[in-house]
Amino acid sequence: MKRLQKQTLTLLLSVMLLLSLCAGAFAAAGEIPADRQKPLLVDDADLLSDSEETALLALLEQKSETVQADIAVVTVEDTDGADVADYAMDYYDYNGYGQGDDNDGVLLLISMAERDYWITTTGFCIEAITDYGRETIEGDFLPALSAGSYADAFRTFAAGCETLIQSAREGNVYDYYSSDSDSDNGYGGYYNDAYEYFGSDAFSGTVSRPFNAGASLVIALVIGFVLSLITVSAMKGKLKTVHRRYEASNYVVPGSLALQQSEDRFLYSNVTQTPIPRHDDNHSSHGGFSGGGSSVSFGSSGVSHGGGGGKF
Amino acid sequence: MATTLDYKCPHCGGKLEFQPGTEQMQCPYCDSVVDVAALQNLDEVLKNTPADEMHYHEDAGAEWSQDEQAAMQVYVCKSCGGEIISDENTAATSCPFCGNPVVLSGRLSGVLKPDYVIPFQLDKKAAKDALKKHLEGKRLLPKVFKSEHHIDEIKGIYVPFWLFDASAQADLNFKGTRTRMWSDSKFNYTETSHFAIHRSGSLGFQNVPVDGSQKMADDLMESIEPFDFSKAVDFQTAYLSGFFADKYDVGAEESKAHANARIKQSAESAFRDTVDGYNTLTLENSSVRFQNGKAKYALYPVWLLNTTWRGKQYTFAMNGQTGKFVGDLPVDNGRFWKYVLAFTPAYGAVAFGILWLLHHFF
Repeated sequence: MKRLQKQTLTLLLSVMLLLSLCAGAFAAAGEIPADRQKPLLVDDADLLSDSEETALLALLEQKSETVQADIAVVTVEDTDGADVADYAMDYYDYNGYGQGDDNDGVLLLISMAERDYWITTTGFCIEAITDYGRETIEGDFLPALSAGSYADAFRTFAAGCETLIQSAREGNVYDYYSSDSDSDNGYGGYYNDAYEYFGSDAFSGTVSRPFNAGASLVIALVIGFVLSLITVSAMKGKLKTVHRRYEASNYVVPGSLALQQSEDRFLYSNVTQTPIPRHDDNHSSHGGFSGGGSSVSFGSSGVSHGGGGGKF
Repeated sequence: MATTLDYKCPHCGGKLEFQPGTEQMQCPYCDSVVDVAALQNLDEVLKNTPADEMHYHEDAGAEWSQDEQAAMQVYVCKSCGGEIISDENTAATSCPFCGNPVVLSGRLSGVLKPDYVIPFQLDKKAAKDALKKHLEGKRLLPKVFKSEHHIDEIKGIYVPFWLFDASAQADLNFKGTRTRMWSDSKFNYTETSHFAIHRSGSLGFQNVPVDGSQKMADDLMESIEPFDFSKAVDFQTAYLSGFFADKYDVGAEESKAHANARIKQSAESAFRDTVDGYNTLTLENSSVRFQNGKAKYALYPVWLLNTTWRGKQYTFAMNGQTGKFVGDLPVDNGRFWKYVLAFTPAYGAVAFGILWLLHHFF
């Protein structure tokens, strides 16, 4: 009887300890505000002129209103030593970005110190902006970003996000399988049309890659010609049966090999080292891409985010 | 007495100071681990590798007896200069090398009598069948070629061969490397270890053949190898009955260079096969010395057919013992391109399919 009580007590105490630890962790992680604490455009790195800032903020507010999800752009000098992805997610969470119960929204973080960018998606936007969709947007705004045309880059980013989210709200999630021009599932078509409306030709190049039958046929015929040349040359080789011999292995007396000395001496050794290439550079593959959908990670607050980034 | 020796690092050339008695040390410049004693020893070994010595006792062939010599007759081809020998009962009409008529030039003189002969084991019919089979399934062969040549002209000829026996004593020095790879979170590491490998031993060779006839193309004769010398018998003129023998015009002394090159090559590869466990292996030097090098003179049976097609001579040869048939054949260029064009659409269709799949799924 006493033993049982003791066990129950121990169990109770451990559960309480565990709970207090969790609470402590949550407390340490800080509060997630219910309402947004910062504007949709935060230009701490001062990349935009005042007039550009005003125009862009208005654009972001208007588009966020339309798709009912925050489309935000944040620029910083550096990330205080934090990983750019963690910084972006925490910035999003602790500044209360996002609309609706799931804090729907997308945030583009630019960190000038290492020229990093990161796009983090939250709530509905995780589904709406798939890895494939994100990389498509990146393909369009990165040239401008690298060139230093920040306002252009951000406008393109906002337009891309608006299109993807709007499309997803209507049930057409843009993912890699929907990019084929001949797919009749209705996906992608909206995106293409929408982008033609924006007049972004860089986009139409990446989004819809029609199978170029003519060029492929020419390439296939060249390959076919080379292969058949190899085959027929092999047939031609059968006509030549006369060859010189440069060895006498047929005339070795069987079993006559007698090894008298056999010595393997170590002389010297040296070690070379090469750095392992980092995998988070621009346009490298991201987890989850090959199967479509979005790669998801968690910020310190425990909220799940999608997204990805690289250097510009 | 010096206590330190200057030595160069084999990897970076930096100066190593090494204490005699210690074996391995680290290069201060490139961190290579060096076994200086082994490196010094290697210099000695490479310097002291003896030169090749590949000689034979020159007693190949024998003298003909009076009776034998009297029974032999020599024919000469006025067209190509080929000389053939037959016994007195076998009359030659056309030259086996070029097909032109031959004339009797007289009795045999000035050449040695063979030590051995491998008698013909396959007859003319077998040779004709082998030729037919040789021409079968060759799609690029001009069609007319099969009908135009004179298959009956196929002739059995004893070809003079010098045979070389030797017990080869070989010394070989190789350089080998082993690589080991590993990595941590930031770097890939490759460690390359260098070794000096020495092998020495003996290997016996028997009856390495070199044909002693200028009329016979060396590559053609080497292509119908090997002959099985265990079936050879002591030479007797009776074996020549019904066949011709080519008169040798390249001596044993002139023939041995090629035999030696072949023996050296095979000795090197036999000893190289005793080395394993390295990622790369290169032969630094080798020395082959013969003990009991001996040359013999033998006649080997060969079926020969010469045919001229569009101004070019094609020679076919069959090993008269094993039936191995060789001979380069002409290529019909029209047929060549016809086949290329016929295959192109088929391969092209496959390639197109692959391109389409690549586009749609990747």
